[in-house]
Amino acid sequence: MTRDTRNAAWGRRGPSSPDTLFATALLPGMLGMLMATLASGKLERSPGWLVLAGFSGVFLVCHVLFGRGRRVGDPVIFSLVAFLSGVGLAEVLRLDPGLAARQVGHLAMGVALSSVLVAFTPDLRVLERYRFIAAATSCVLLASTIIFGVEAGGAKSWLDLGPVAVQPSEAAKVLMVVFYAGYLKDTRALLRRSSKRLLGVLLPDLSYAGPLTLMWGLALVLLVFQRDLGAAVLFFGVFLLMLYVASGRASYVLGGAALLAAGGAACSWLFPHVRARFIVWLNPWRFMDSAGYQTVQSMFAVAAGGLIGLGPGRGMPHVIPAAPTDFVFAAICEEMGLVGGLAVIGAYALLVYRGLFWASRATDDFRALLAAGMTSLIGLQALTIIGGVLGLVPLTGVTLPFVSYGGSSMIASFAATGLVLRAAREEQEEHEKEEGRVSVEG
Amino acid sequence: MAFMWLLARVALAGLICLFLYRAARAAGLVTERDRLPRGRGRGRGELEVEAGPGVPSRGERFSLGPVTVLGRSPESDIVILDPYVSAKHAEIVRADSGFFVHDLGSANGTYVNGRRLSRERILRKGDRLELGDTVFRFRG
Repeated sequence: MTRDTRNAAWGRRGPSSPDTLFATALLPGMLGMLMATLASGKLERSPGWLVLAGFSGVFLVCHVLFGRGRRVGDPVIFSLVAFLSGVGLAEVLRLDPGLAARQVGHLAMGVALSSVLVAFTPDLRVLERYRFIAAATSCVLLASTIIFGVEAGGAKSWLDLGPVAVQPSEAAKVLMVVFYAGYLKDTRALLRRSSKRLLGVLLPDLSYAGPLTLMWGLALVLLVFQRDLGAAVLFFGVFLLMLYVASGRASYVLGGAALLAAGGAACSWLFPHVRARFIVWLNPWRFMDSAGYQTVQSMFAVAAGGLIGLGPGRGMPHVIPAAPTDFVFAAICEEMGLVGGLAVIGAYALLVYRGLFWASRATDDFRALLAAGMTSLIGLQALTIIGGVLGLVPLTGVTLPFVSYGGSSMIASFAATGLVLRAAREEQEEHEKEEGRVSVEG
Repeated sequence: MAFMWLLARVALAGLICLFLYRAARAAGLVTERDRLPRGRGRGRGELEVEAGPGVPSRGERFSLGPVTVLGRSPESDIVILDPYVSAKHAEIVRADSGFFVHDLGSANGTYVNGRRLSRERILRKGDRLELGDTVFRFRG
């Protein structure tokens, strides 16, 4: 029998063991937090120590509880998430120590939720049964912001609950992916087998694609009323990527992208704040004192960083509006340099690679679609905001998963990761069962 | 002090690079193809067609070489004209311990005895190999 190459690669010791990888993942964040604390000048009673201890504590406890990373599903994904959280927390600490202390709390809640999903989900297929409940909950969450929402930055996506403000669209995104996965599993055979053609492009059978299109339309209508462009792009983008995974037809994706472009044009015609974003994107320098200030400051920050950055605490990223949330990537580029910025992008790339890797070897369609969907959600969100910060795509107010300050976003990203890790773990458990059976037979 | 700060910045960049390198290595950015056990196993392997939409026809037999690619593309070692078979669908590799089949990322999957392959798997005498609507029987 062959040795299991995957587990053999994760030996107890050596440079590729989960322990070593995990320790290496924590170090950059920890050094960053240390430097931010030193640079602030107040060494005694600085909140930096507390944040540093909280961050390492949360991840270490999780690592140890999951058999030193061996039963977490995929130690690589877990380490990548720890790395991103650490770098993000270091930058938030440098910008605002008070926010960083709260962010440690969000991190603890996120890791706890993720752990519960990995350890206590009976089977992901149970989730499949609740796909319509997930869709309904998602719509209710979105609708709640229209009725009770508070406006911030032109988008009405916050819910004020007294001491805390939450962003229900973050949870709605994850729930919607669960629905997409369940629904596409049911209809994928039908989506593939349609043979109607329009101008040489294969069309899906309307009676099967109809409910899904309706679902998407509903989500989009909600978002238009909420005027949150970033969330609309994510909802639709993830839907397209999952449709491609389920059907293998590029024509759906191309058609969808055309729809999105048409929607974008309509939105910019209808809503002044969306139009302003497009105009600023085309030439931010013309508006550098007004609407383009944020983008221009962010570009200055990225340029100031150079190769290795000025070091956490020595730059001036606080001049960028919304630096700890939407523009945290620019702050990282300024203080950790090109190296830090590229590493963040690389970490997302690896995260997507691992997520799709597990999706591709999943034996169950729902599990495959869920893993692919959650992975696309994180990857697409990162791409949207990094592109926006660098001025490559129009700026949308979404957070950088695991890195930006924000409780709702942090917890939702960890929930998505938890489901991918769960899918990976189920895959491994099933494989081990099969391996056992084969060796008994042989 | 300024020198210490420079040292800290370089250390931070170094740690970031070290992590990314280790993560990329652990993520296994090597293809399955490279990781398959290879060898010059003795013994012969043969596939017999049990059912299929036409080409190859029923009863036809193929003997397996060191590497056999099955798929719809004309470059495949065993060309299968079946709409549910991908261009490069699956591959059978001869190793010391026998013949291993693994899926090459096909759209509809490769099934051995009714179970979808998630990774490479050894073929045993009498195993039923399904690609799309085409069914093979493995003769050791």
